[in-house]
Amino acid sequence: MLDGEKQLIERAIRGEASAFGLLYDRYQTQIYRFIYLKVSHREEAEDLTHQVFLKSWQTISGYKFQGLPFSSWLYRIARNQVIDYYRTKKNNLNIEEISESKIDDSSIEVIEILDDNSNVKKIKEAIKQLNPGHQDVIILRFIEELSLKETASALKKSEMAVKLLQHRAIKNLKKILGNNE
Amino acid sequence: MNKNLLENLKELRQIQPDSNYTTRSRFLILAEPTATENLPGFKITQIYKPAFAIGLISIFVLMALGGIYQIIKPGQNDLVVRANEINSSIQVKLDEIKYLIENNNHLNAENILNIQALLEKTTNELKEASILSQENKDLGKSLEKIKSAQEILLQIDAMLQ
Repeated sequence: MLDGEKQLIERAIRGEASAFGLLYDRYQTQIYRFIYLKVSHREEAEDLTHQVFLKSWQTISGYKFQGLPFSSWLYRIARNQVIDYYRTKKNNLNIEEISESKIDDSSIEVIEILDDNSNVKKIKEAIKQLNPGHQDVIILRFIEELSLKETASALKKSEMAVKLLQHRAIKNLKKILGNNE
Repeated sequence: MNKNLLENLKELRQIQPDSNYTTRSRFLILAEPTATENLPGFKITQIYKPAFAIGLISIFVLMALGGIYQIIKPGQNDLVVRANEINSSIQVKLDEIKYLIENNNHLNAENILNIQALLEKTTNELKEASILSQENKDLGKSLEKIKSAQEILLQIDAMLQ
């Protein structure tokens, strides 16, 4: 847990909005990024990120300290939010099929930022083609650079399971990148 | 592991949310009550919320005017009428502001921060009015504080139009 975070969380649990605001400032970008890389749609990612923090603020009284960063709890909420999003999506796409969906126009502004490096753009598109579990571990371990322990907590898996998942995820990612060339 | 792949994955950290969205989202989230909040019987020190203090402002208005009503002396009917007018005006304005904020998708970060600051100012004016009236101090001054709060709400309303 980050320095001073425990006190901040305790204040937020007591209902101090300013304390939760500081937690929001600390984690909002990474949660948004996690969601965006999974849904590839800026406005949807914004809505879902908002829901994650709203839900966490409204239920923070139930938060239990387990010696791990607050972000682990947020990532769990975010994962569930994305799962629910796909379940209720109007076109009823199967979750496995989502990885093949095209990039939405509203995400073009983000792609332009990455466009200077076409390799990065290819990787972003390749991540979309992974299954959700592999996406999670790639994003958390290699983009957000969480430790094995933090990733395991966020994904509610054992560290051994995360190691295995990460190995398969990288293998699949390379395979997709190889196929796309 | 391919070093290039790892480096390229790290570059995806460039992805950031829009700052206007972030400010707006934060504002709306912190305005929501948590499960631990208990509005009746709150402590004044706990309710200093930067955003959406509207429900609380209403309570302060009632407290301030409640104090005024208690110390009304015979022959002060004009004061009662004036207090009622201000109360009604503030309540209507609060409802309008709340509706406008909730339904305005074009507020930028600067506007949101300005509104936040004005809501805090309104809360402070009414806090002071409440204290003045409940301590049976200068009634006129209490009413002036309430009028000042009313004017600030008019400013917010103008910003949202």
